[in-house]
Amino acid sequence: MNLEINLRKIKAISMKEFMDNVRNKWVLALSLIFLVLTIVFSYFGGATSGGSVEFQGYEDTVAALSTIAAMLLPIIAIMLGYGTVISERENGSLGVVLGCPVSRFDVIIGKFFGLGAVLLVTIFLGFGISGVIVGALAGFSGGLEYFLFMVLTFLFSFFFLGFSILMSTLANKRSTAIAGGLVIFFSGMIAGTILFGIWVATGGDMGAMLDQVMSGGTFELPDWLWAGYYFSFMDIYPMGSMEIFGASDFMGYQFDYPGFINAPYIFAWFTFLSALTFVSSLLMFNKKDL
Amino acid sequence: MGIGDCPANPYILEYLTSSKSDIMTENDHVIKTSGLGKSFKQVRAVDDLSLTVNKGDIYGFLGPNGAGKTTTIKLILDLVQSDGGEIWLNGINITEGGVSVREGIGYLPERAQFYRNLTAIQTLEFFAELKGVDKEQCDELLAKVGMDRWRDKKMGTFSKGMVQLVGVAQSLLGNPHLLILDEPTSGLDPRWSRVLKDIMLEMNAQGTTIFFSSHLLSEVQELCNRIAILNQGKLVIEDTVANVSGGMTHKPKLVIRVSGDAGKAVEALRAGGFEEITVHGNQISVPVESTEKSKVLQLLAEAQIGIEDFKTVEPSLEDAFMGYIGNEAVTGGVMNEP
Repeated sequence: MNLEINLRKIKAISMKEFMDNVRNKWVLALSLIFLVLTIVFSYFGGATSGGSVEFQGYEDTVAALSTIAAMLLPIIAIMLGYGTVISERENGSLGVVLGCPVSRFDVIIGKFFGLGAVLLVTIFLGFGISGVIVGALAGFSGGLEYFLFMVLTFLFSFFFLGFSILMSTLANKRSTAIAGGLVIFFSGMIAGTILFGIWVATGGDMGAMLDQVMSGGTFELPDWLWAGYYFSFMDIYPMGSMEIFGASDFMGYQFDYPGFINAPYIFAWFTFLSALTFVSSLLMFNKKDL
Repeated sequence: MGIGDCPANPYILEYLTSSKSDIMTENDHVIKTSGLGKSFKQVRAVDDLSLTVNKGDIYGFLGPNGAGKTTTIKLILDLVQSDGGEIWLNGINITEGGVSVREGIGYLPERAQFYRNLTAIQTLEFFAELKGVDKEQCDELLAKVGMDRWRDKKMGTFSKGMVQLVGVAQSLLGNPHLLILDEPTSGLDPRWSRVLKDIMLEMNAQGTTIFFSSHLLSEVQELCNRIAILNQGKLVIEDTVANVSGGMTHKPKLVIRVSGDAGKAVEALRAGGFEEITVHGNQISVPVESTEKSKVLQLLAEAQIGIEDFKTVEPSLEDAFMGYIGNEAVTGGVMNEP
């Protein structure tokens, strides 16, 4: 295995990836989408949960925002990453790049950095500017937690980006790469339902649970179910977002989380998953015929 | 002049008569492969391929479509991984040399499209950065391939030929010691094809070794001093153009324009023992050994057939190519492909 890396070449590749997305206006468009989303959910989010139409504080804003972000960000990340290797393989430019004294590691690291920077910049611009606006109108209490929410949002979306780059590396056609990305997206969506289904099938009482939580009480779910939620990405991300604020919201209700459902673990989980996709992409691309 | 007699350009003549053509050492092998193999699923794309490209060569890599030319080039550049054999670039085994073995190599793949949203100049600057060479030469190279007027236009707006020209400029970044070009004139109109050939000759005169694949025999015949013919992944022959042309079984043809009845001329020649005669109007072609030319003319004279003109046509590289790979490739459209 060739482990050579060259920072100058990584910089050139990552800058190209980033600037591609500046030129095609994706950076601007995504920043605006995140900004508008935050403002809309901060202002109108309270109304949908029985409150008034006014700017909410950070915690309520994140509560409303994180559920939609859990759907939107993976799609954006998959769109960013799925074609990055396979498209260049198909049009021959990747062969020219690797015909230069450039290692395959340089290429993959450059792509992760460049596309990761697109996510980082758009998330921190979009959510950051809107966060300042929300803070100015509703108070800056919880500002640090909101910042950590942005960090978690980046890690969450970076995992999907990494997975789509891995698919782009493995696939021999663009359609296969996007199909791979959609598989992880939909598996993240249905995992929670499957987990609850298994719980009910093995004796769990959904009716009792709903009665309990809707009357304002708490309900204990088995640890294996909570552990399984680490694989239900579209659930664990909003749970982590609320955990940052010290709230144990789940599906809009209060639950007693077991000790292993906490913000640092969820941060670590998405960091680990992102690293896993990164290392897998490096290893797979190193052996790939172009 | 027969193709076997002399290479077609002064640079090759200079090379062949210079000290560079003296006995080669291992260090003079710019590309060397030994027992190279590669399979894709059930297909053996490259099979036990051993070839040697010497310093200063313009080396033509010939073969019908699907012969394994592009796969071989990708193997040499480590873009695909071999399942057997070894490759050396400048005497260094590519599996041991790391990425540095590709320093000083210019590569142009067949039908590369590059990045649609980068301008021509941005494309060259990106590759200059990757090659670690001075970006200031980018404008000069765009001018060299006639693309300086479109330096700030996006690649996505270019025709296939224009993209190819930017690709050529890219391959010349850093004044490479080895150019590897896969069907380089593909997509170029005759004018730019001529420009590219002149660039190749100029680079070669300055010491650059050129390895290029083509299915255009005239191109190879015009440019190369050495060639290899590949068919179904196997090396059929590797030698100088002269030796490849000379080593075939085809005889030279005596082409005669007669003033009288061509049918009568054919009868006379057949009676004299010549069988493979072709007729086009009043022009007849007879494959002959060099010692038989006077006999043909004598037979026609004895039959009282007037001879308006005659010439000897030496066997071409095309004849040799056909002889080596057989007629199968012709039916596959190889010779007619633009």
